[in-house]
Amino acid sequence: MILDRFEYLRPSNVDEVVTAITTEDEVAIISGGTWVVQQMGQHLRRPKVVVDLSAAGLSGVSTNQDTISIGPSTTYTQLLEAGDTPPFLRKVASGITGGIQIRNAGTIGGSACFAYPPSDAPGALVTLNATMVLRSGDGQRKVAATDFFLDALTTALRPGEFLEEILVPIADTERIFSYQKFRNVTGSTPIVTAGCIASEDGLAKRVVIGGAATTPVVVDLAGDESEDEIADLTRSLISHPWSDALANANYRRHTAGTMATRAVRAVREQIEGEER
Amino acid sequence: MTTHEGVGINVTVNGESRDAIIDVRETLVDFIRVDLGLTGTHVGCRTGDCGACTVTVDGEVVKSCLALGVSADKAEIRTIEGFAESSEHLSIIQTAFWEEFGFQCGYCLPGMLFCTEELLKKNPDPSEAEIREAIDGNLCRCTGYHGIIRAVRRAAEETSQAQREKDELRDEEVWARPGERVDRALRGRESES
Ligand SMILES: Cc1cc2nc3c(=O)[nH]c(=O)nc-3n(C[C@H](O)[C@H](O)[C@H](O)COP(=O)(O)OP(=O)(O)OC[C@H]3O[C@@H](n4cnc5c(N)ncnc54)[C@H](O)[C@@H]3O)c2cc1C
Ligand code: FES
Ligand code: FES
Repeated sequence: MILDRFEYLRPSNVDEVVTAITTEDEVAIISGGTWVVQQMGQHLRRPKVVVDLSAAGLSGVSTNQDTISIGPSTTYTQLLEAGDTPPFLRKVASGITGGIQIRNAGTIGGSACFAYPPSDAPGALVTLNATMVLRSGDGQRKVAATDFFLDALTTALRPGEFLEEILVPIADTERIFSYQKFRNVTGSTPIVTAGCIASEDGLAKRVVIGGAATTPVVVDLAGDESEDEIADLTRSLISHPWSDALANANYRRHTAGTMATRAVRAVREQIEGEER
Repeated sequence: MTTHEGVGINVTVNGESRDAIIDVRETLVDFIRVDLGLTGTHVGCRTGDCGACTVTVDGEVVKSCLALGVSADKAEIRTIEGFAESSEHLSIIQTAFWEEFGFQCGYCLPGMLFCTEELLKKNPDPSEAEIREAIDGNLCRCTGYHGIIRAVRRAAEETSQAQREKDELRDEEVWARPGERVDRALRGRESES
């Protein structure tokens, strides 16, 4: 039982969501609920208003011309099943732990908005060059995923604003990619993730590291670096390291270098395989 | 759309329509256990890790400690009490768990059974790796998992076998079988003790 009283609202469309979250009181939005409900149960979060998005029509994946649109309440299972899901994101969704039950309930937007550094979604969305569409009473604004994650557990969302849509450019989703994840055991939270999608000219030029720093770290490459150079560069870019009970900052920084080289190696091997 | 605590909801639980007045602060697992009195749904962690609170909501296998009860308004819920096809006969999956020692205390069964059912729906012939992946959201403190993996394998084989027989034979004959086996197993255990 949650201790503190709150008002529960289940809006049935986006306009009603805006009305529901436009208040001076503290609001908690529920998408899949896998983070926020347990936080309320542990009294870590004591909202006055709880807004449940489950009836607001915010899930699904569709393609419009050159962009893929992903509803923030799309679950990992829906990502795995939808035909339009970018292959990179399908790979990410297939590795979410906690079992069928968590993949059936947890959502991509919930994970993005929680901005927990070791989660898969922040790094994955930056890897995909996603754009976050934010909505409030003042209308819509678009924020690049790189600018959405401001700090650990902190996003660009303002009070009275919610994540309405995630846009992914199609061009980036059709190329060779690699997603590497290091965790202590198969079922545990990620320690470090590394995502790499080949550039237009077919090189591994951009690696995105999750879990090592408070926000995803973008490693830009010329494409011809040695693996040692990639590892060193990656480690040097972790300026705001993340540290927790599972792994400290030094361990994560070191692992980030290793995972970056693995991601680049996997992409290079696939490219070479295609050229052969 | 505004609701305060003490709201009326209606859910269909194991096929039966139930009206309830619910405090919006109740999690789904508390609603099921305390308000509906269905204590086969267990609580192990309340953090989404153990799977003992697993139910299905509108056909989706979920952990009920991570949802609010009020969110289930108008939904169809299945709990472990509704897992068997009838109160007399255990299902094929339950029988396989029984026969392969897939449980001891049974605390983890809600998650193990629903995840097995979900797996076999999508994959009638799973490998050991696929079985391990399907049950990996559930913790069992008793069995060491080997019995569970054997049980899922057996459930897969017997489900396929039943399907084959069903294709060949009349329905009633086939569906009576797993239950009969349990009756036999139960009688066997009684006579041992
Ligand atoms: C056992 C277990 C294993 C897990 N394994 C993994 C894993 O392997 N990888 C991983 O990345 N994560 C994992 N998670 C973490 C988490 O459950 C998932 O990342 C999930 O996707 C969170 O989404 P949700 O919809 O359930 O979030 P919610 O709990 O619904 O929401 C999370 C936060 O985002 C806010 N929010 C939600 N939607 C919006 C919106 N549209 N606009 C504004 N704010 C919003 C909420 O208010 C809340 O603060 C795991 C969790 C558990 C319990
Ligand atoms: S009580 Fe829900 S997962 Fe443990
Ligand atoms: S049988 Fe006791 S927890 Fe699994």
